[in-house]
Amino acid sequence: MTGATYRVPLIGVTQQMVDRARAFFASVARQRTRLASYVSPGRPIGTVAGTWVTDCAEIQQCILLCSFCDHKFAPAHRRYGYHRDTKYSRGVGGDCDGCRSHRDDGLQLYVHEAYLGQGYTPR
Amino acid sequence: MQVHGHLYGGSPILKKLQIGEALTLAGLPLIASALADADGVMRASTTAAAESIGVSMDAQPTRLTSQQAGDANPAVYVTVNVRPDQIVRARLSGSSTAGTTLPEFTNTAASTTGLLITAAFGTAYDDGYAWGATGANAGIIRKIQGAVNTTATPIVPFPSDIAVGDIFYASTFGPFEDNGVQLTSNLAELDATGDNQSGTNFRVFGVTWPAKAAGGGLGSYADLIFTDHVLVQQ
Repeated sequence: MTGATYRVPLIGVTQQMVDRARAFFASVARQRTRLASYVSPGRPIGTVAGTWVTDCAEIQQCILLCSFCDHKFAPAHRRYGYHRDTKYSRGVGGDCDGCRSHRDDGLQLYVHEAYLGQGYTPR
Repeated sequence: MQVHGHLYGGSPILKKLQIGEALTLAGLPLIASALADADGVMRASTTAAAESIGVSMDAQPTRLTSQQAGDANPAVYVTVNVRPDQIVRARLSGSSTAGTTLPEFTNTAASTTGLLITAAFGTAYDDGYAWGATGANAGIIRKIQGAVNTTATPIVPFPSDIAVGDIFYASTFGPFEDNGVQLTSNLAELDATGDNQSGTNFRVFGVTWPAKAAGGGLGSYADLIFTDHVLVQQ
C-alpha cells in the first residue's frame, strides 16, 4: 500500500500531548524562520573576502573568521582598531566573514575597540 | 549589559541581524520587531522584553531606508548573541540614569534583633533586597519583607546587630524572584530603584553585592536570563 499513513498507538501518549508537541515544534520553527529573515547574507558573491572584511571594519562591526581566514586578518587587526578575543577558548559560532562557511564554534572573534566595556569586555 | 556566559556552557552563537532602528550603543537587549510596519531587531523597553533575541555586541547608529549607490545592500546589521540560555550581566544603577551610585540608607536606630533597618526606604523596596554596605553586616544580603518610608524589615535577620550609622544598599529585585527588573533609560544598566515587580522581562540569576569599601555603590551587578526569548516556546 503506498501513500497510506500508519499511526502506531503509544501507551500513555494522549492526543493532547501529541498536539502540544506539534504546537511546540511549529512555534520554534516559525520563530527560527522569522529570525532567519533578519540574518545578514554575508559577503556578496564576487566580492573579495579582504574587501568585505575591511568594509565590516569601516562600520566597526564585529568580525568573525574561521581558522583558514583568520591568519590573513590577525596581523593587521590592531591597525583597524580591533581587539582579538581570547575570552572564548573554543571560539564562537556563526558565519565566517571571509569564506562564508558556517561553524558551530571555533570562529575567531574580533570586536572593535569602541565597544569594549559596552557589549564586550576582554578577559 | 553584556553576555557573561551561558547556562549550558559553550560558545556564543553570533548572528548579524538587520536593525529595525538606529542603535547608538552596544550592549543593549534586543527584541524582534512586533509592529506591523517594522522589520528587524529593535531595542527592548525599560520594563519589557517580550520576543527578545539577545544582547548586541556592536552598535550601528545609522539605519538606511533608501537604495544605495552601486547596488549596495541598504540593510544594516548588528552583531547579536542569539543563544536563549545566555547569562547577561548588568550593573546596578541608583536611578534611571546609567552610572548613578546606589543610594545609601543610613540606619538611625539600633536593632538588636537584626530585623529592622530604620531608614527612608520607600515602598518600592517591598519584596526587594538590602545588603550591608558598612558595619558588621557588610556584604550580607537579606530579602525585605516589608518596606515603608521609614523602615525596612528583612525576613531572615541579619547575623549581627544593626548599629546606628550602618549603611545599607538596596535593590527592588533579587535572585530567582518571579518578577521583572527595570532598566535604565539607555537600557545599558539596571535601575535598582525602579519597581517593575509585576514585569516578566528578565529573571535575575544572581546578584553581586560588594560592600561600600569594595566599591559596592558603583560595582554591584546582577546576572539575568531572558524569560521570553524567540527561540524558546513560552
